[in-house]
Amino acid sequence: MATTQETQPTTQPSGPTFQREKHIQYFKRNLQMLPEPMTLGLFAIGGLELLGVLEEAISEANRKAWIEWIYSQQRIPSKDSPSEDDDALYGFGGPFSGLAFQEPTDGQQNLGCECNSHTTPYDTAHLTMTYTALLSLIMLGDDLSRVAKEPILKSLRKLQQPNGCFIPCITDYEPDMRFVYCAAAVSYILNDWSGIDRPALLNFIRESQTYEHGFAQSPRHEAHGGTTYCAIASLGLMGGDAFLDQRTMVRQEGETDSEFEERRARAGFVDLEGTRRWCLQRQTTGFQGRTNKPTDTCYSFWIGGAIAAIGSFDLVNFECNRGFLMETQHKAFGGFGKWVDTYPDVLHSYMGIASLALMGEPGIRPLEPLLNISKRMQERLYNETVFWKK
Amino acid sequence: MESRHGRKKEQAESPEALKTREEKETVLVREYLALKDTLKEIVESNKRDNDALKVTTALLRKSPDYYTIWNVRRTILKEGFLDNASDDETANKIYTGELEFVQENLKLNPKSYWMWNHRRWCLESMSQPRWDKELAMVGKFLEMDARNFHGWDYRRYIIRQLDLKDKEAKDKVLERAQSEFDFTITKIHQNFSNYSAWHNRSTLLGKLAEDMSTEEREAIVDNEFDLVKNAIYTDPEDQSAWLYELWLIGREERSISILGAHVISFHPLEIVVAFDETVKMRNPFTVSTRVDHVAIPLEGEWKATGSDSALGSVWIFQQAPGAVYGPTVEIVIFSDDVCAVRAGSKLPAAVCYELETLNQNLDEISGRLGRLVIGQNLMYDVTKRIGPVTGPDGTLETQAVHPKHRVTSLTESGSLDDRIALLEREISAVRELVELEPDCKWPIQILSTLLSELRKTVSIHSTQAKVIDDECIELQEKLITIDPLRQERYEDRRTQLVFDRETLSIIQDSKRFPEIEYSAKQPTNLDLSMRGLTHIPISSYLLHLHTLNLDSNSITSTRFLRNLLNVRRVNLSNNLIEHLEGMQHAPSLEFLTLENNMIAKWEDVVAGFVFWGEGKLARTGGHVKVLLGNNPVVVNEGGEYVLEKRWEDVGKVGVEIQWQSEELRLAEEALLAAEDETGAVGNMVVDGTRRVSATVVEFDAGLAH
Repeated sequence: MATTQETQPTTQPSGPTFQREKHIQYFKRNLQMLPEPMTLGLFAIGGLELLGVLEEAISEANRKAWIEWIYSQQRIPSKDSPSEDDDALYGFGGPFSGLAFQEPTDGQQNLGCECNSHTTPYDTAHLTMTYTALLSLIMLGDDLSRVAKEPILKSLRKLQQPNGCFIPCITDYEPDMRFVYCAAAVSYILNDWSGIDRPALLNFIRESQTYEHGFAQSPRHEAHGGTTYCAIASLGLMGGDAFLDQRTMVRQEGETDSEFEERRARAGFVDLEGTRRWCLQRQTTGFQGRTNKPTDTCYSFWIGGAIAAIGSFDLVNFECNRGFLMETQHKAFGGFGKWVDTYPDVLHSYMGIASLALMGEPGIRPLEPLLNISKRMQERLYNETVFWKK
Repeated sequence: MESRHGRKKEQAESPEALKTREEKETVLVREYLALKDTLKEIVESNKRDNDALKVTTALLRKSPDYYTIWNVRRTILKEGFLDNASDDETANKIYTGELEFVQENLKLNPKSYWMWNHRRWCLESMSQPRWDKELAMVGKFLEMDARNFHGWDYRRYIIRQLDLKDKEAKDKVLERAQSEFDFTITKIHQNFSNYSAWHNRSTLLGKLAEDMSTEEREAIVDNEFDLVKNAIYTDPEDQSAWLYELWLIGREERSISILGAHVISFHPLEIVVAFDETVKMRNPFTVSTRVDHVAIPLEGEWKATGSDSALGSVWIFQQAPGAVYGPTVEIVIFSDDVCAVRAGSKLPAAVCYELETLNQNLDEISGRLGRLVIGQNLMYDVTKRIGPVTGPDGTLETQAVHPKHRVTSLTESGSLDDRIALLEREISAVRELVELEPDCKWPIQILSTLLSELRKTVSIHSTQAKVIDDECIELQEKLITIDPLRQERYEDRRTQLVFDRETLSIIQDSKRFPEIEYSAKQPTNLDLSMRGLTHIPISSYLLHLHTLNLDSNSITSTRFLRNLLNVRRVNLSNNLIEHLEGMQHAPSLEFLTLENNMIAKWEDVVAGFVFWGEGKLARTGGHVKVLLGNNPVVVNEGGEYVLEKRWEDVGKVGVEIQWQSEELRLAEEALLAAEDETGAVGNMVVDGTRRVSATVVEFDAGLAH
């Protein structure tokens, strides 16, 4: 991923005011809900990070406590008698656990919950939680040294389905694009793609591209903004040929037909131009998530982020998108609602700010669209976490 | 349609109400946390009884998105009940209970993934799942929210399960598709704007049409057009039916045309091939020369003009040093050799050019860099060629003898007339609606698209094409006024249409309709001033021009100049240009007028003259006068100066950039006009003005590559 210098634009766009202070207060209030659920915590922490106040908003004691709390959700193999039966269970889970949590003894670090003979297949980590936990740990300043990488990769291999898609946990019945993204983001953060059958995954993503050229949850369904983001961001994180477009791929000099076909099979887009068009056509003022649906705050990021990922964010009409977001921000409470005149929630608040970040709104840190974290945190991933640090 | 104002505003609460609500919530939270503790005990003690199940029931009622509890519930069900079930009936009763539990909760939270999944777990575990009941159930949910994608996804899932069971009975599968097709019409009649229903309908229609006869297909398609008409008359502002109509009509795949091929230099041999749109080269085009009736490959390299030499509408071949060529050189371009950047375009068949290289009279090459050789291209269908040339797959391509034409997305015909008849019918229907609803953007947009489709079926020089273009331009102008949010998009479309209309003298229909090619006689001057152009849509059209006037438009980029290989003078005054680019292949450019633009930095002027190492300018040198009056760059530097800038870091190239007072400019233009008439090459001398050396421009020679 290309990294750019962090720049803070200094000129305030014309039009309604971005209620930065109110949003900071809104996310702070939401943080008081921690330690659960983890996904909402991520949005609150991520929101404060984008607003540039993460460090001052969280006390050192809280920061450390949350790191410990997150690690306590990690499922790890039994030290004494690791069982193959548990291979699909590793990673991070929700705060509920049937597993016995081992209090760290003095001088020892909290590594999470060991699977044991009482572990049921339902006592499992969840891909979304693993993704959320890793991003939260990075933002809280942890170096990921206690993350059990190999077990997580083992579980990824179990969670990938024959059609290439991922299920979030082994007991679950929801193979869809959301978990493809989680698997890709986890692999990226761990800097190790050995948990993923890449050709199968690429095939799944390509087949999920609809005749409208957006991406659906899985093949044959209707194109959707959230899943389109998941598909495109996954391809971006996979990097290399995954971001190529089959329709416009060019045979290289000296390449035989079968070599060319092999290379085509490594490309993730069936028709990138079509996808770009579908995404751009979702802009009404802000963005709608599917054809002919109402405009909704979160799609300013889901679709906006997808457009940014394919390098075409300059084609978005900033003024209209910003205008819509300024209407959905709550004037009194801070935060953003789904629609105009609706109460804010932490997901829409984060997404609203993330979309503004893509447009370079003053007072918001620049955002890396593929991982959906600030560029500052992306740098931290590269320079300060054990899987990337040189 | 935008409907945010149709939503209920959430009312602010009174302080008393807020207090009561908070108290109630505190109680609820306490209850919930107590239940969670109980469940933790249950799991740890391996309790798998009815009490345990009840705790999960209570918790899930409060928090249906808590996936771990669903998992625990399944453990309890499996280990405590199902594993001990004596027969299928007992098990089925348990599953049925679960289905009822989920259904009741789904009503409160129809977008909860976990509940839909719990249903799937039940049904896939049951010995006799009642998929038909599921279909009825999901039908009810789609009544509550007709666009719930969980509902639609689940519905397709059920159908797939049923189809899998009937793998051997194709009629049953088709019958089911028909019944789903009928379901979409129910949903569409309930609400025409339900795009999920239209979407499902389009996928089902394809499936149903697979085994239909031509007549059946035509009948079903007619029926669809009626349906669309009903919908659009009900609410012409709603986009769903319009989008379905567009899908139904389909867009005719565009043919990439090769406009022509010319020799532009003999030593070394340089050949230019021009396309009517931007293409990527998949395989290098075959270049060969004949020696004793045997075709011998001619070594060399193909590059597109511009900084990205892998992408363009004009491609230049340069022979490798030392390669020898005979009296004729042939170029063969197979349809697989190029792919269009724009979706839906392809080269329909291979093209072969034979270029004469005998007549190398240098006197005929006027000007500094050689005139383009026109009228010496012989175009053949490859099949008619004598002698073997093989494609990448080792075979020669042949053209289809009886091409099939698309009529709609589902039907085709041997005659183009069927397509024309359909388009005309739809055009007249939409026209009626445009008259009824003159300020509604959708019918106007569709009318414009339909007209463009019709335009693809007629000769570009026909009266009908002209009438269509004029109408389409008017439609874009109308759209700009009624839908200002998308103004730039319509302006770009309008620009394309105006450009097509104004460049008719440059192109003609080729023998292979609907492909086009350069006219035999190319105009050397083109006046496109004051046409409201935002850009130059197809710059390869302008390849042969000597003079181009683009004064007073809204052009923002000079990138198109990269394809004006023969241009001498370009007037771009009164546009919106901020920096120069694309001059690297305009070796004959002498005079570039850029007065009253938005160029603010000298670097932005210089950047335009960066050229690729082998470019013409590098070899021959040249002088370009760029007039920059009334640009910020000149105003900032203090007024009435003539600035001279030269750099000689790279080869022999020098570029002169001048800015003069209006008076002097007029004098110079008069001089140039006189020169045109006499054909003399005049030396311009500028007297009576101060010459000022500007700051030296840092020119990075590395940029040359």
